[in-house]
Amino acid sequence: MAFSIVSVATPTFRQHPAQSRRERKAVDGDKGELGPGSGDLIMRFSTLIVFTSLLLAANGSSAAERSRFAETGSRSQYVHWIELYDANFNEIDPAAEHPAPYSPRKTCGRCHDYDTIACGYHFNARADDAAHGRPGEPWIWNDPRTATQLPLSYRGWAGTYDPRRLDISAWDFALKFGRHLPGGVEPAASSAPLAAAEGAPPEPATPGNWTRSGALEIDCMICHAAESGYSMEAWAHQIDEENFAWAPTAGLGIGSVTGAVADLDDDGAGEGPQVTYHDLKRNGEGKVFFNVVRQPRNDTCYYCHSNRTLGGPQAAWNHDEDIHLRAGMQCADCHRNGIGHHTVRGFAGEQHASGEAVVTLSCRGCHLGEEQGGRLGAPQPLHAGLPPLHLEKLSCTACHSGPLPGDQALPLQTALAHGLGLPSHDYTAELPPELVAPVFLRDGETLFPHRMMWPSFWGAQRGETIVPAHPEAVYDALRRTFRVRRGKTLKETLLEIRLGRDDKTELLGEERAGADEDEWTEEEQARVAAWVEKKALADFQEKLPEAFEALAEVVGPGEAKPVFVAGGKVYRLDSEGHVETFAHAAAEPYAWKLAHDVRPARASLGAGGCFDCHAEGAPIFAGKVATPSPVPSEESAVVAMQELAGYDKTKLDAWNQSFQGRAAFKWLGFASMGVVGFVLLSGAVWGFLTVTGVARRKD
Amino acid sequence: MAALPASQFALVATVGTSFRSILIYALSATVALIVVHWLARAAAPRAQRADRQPWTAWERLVYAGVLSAVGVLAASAFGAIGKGETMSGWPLMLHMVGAGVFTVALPALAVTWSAVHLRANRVANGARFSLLARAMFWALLLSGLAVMGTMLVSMLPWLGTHELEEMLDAHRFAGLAVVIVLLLHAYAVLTGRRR
Repeated sequence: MAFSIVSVATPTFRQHPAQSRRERKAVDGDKGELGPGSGDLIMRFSTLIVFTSLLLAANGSSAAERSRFAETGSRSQYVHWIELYDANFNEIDPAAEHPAPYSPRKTCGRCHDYDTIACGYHFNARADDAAHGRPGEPWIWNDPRTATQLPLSYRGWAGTYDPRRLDISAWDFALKFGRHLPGGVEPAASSAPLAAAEGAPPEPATPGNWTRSGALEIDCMICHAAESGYSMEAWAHQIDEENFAWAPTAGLGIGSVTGAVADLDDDGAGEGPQVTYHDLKRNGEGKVFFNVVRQPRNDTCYYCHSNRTLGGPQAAWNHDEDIHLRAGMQCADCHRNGIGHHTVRGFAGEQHASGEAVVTLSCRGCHLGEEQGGRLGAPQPLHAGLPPLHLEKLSCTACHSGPLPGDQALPLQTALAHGLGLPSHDYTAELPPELVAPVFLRDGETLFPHRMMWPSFWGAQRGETIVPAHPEAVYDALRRTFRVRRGKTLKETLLEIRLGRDDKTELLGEERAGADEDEWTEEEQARVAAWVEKKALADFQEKLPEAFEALAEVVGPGEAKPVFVAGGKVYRLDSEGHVETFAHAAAEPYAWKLAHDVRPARASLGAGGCFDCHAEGAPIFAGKVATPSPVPSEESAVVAMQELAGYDKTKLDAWNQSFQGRAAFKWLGFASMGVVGFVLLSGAVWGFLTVTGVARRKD
Repeated sequence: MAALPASQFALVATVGTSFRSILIYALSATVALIVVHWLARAAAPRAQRADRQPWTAWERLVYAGVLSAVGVLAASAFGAIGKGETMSGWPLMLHMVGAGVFTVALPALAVTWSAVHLRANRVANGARFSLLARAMFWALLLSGLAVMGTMLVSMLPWLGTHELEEMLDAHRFAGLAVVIVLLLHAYAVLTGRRR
């Protein structure tokens, strides 16, 4: 349980927090009895200074930190009547003519250790010395105009690209992904706790428009606002307007913001953002009431951590969501943190940054741990009849989490990748980037369900290495080649082919060539679609040399060779100028483990018996994963999950076959035991009779 | 992965480690016992060989079935245990094949040989099997019953994870008993003579 930390009026001498004013006064009175100016007082004061100095020297800086931030020590919620401060630490008068936007760093940071919080897991991606843990969902730079789907992460996860290495500045990153960031993207100078470690990628040369936009500070109220008062839409809108410093004010809804940094001229001329504070709830001291909750609500987490599977057997409204939430739990019950904001991720083997043991906040630790498990009343599963080997070979999530596996991994949309949570008319199944789930892959010998994406980007090949180019630079270079219209993807543009009369005649015959498209039969539609795809592919391949030529200016001169990565392969021009494709690690999919939604026990894999998995065609092994391509492609590679997981198909088939005779084997086994038992019993009876002499007398 | 204190996973590791030691010591002791006995027997004056009924083809087949099944079961299981691994993949499949043969061969052995092991003293020209062989025969049936029972019960949706772990542990020990008993039985049978 985290306790809130509040500032206290810094007393000269340490006071017991429960002391009443009268008690404190009495103590002061006692001191007064010594008499001002007395030698005894001087002696005592000198002794105190020496003692305090020694104490500070012994405790180092921790003593100083403790003196600045105090705790309530209570489980009750501290009521926040506070002053608002701007980024320059000036107290804001909301009624002033042009008040500044409030700064969470200066307002909340007066009492809460902002620098410590900034090292928490939601904010420390750029800290190279932080423990980043197992790979998670990347930020996907999605640009449909150039078919770019680029997995980015500052955390160094294999398969992702560090934005700094692609010349994507923190400012660019904030502008692109700030919609689903809780803040914490600031110019390097103001984010000292996240100073880059030695050997870390340097910040890009063009740092961005920080001086006008202000810092995108960590906005505490995104997670800690009570009720549903915080508007992430308003937050995202201000970021889109480049009004980073104004986003917390607009998001919390305590003020309206007009004007935009994005509308300013290069020389800064124009109407910049202005705040008008609303009727705030203020007390007699002029302090503002902030309705704060200590533990973030599920709804808050869902804004960034929502996902939805498309094409599944259940409509979204008919889905039960995670069983833990249905049981009344909160996300933060397991994914909890202290003031350090190192939010527990909850995977097995997690090493918490605080050094605190968090094993009982993982599935196994909570549900199977015998001594410390069972937190919050977690039931211990019986797993009746499930050979214990399964608990070594399968993660808990393999059977219990994510969409129930089917014949094929399903398309998936997430808040981070698709912007779920913001109102749009474009959340169609075709909305890029293309993600799929569940895909079962092994980590060591253990099988885990994953979400997966295939990177797609334009870049340069230097020797054996392929590095993406800055997506904006790519767009600038390629827009004349592909001429993608606003709101369209590159693939859609390439597939926009108008059939001429001759084409229709060739495809449909003379008689049907004049028929309206609405009158085409399904077979005719399929024939035309196949022709269009073929033509689009030819067009794409025809334009690729031109695109590579334009891209050469982006990737620079020298040995670098322009390439395009998509659909699990790499395109480039061979020495004769023809397009060729080849396999490369850069084209391989990036996958990250999924943990939610957890399904109830009766909906888990294996609840239906061994044949849920140990049968020919069982989805967990035989489910298909299609490689999507954001450009026309000759073929879409379809791979079985067992292949992706690295299983031996012969062994799996043999194993499945062995299960066909499992029921018969049980019957045979018990019959065999019956026979052996009968013989043993007979022998025992005979032996007993022999020993007691009964048999001999009978003879 | 951080250790789960006193959980069943820790139990598996503990039991697995201790069983490996027990396995090595028990098998070594059995082999040593056989070797010592064989040497002592070789040094002693040879007794007159008792006339015994020859084995029928069926008896040979049944006994060979049990020997080969237990051999396969032991090799597939003890190999993994010796390496400190959990049996899985091809070794586990081989183990299952061996188990199938054992399930058929053991009752056949029980039915075929129980009478002569019971009435050993009544056969003309003396017993067909020594006391050790007779004792090991009944021990084989008993441990065989245990080894089958522990696994068959585990295959039913009755027991939870912890109980299954304990059942697997019991299966290991019962399996070891089968191997030791069969080694002694085979030794007694093959060298069987009374002095």
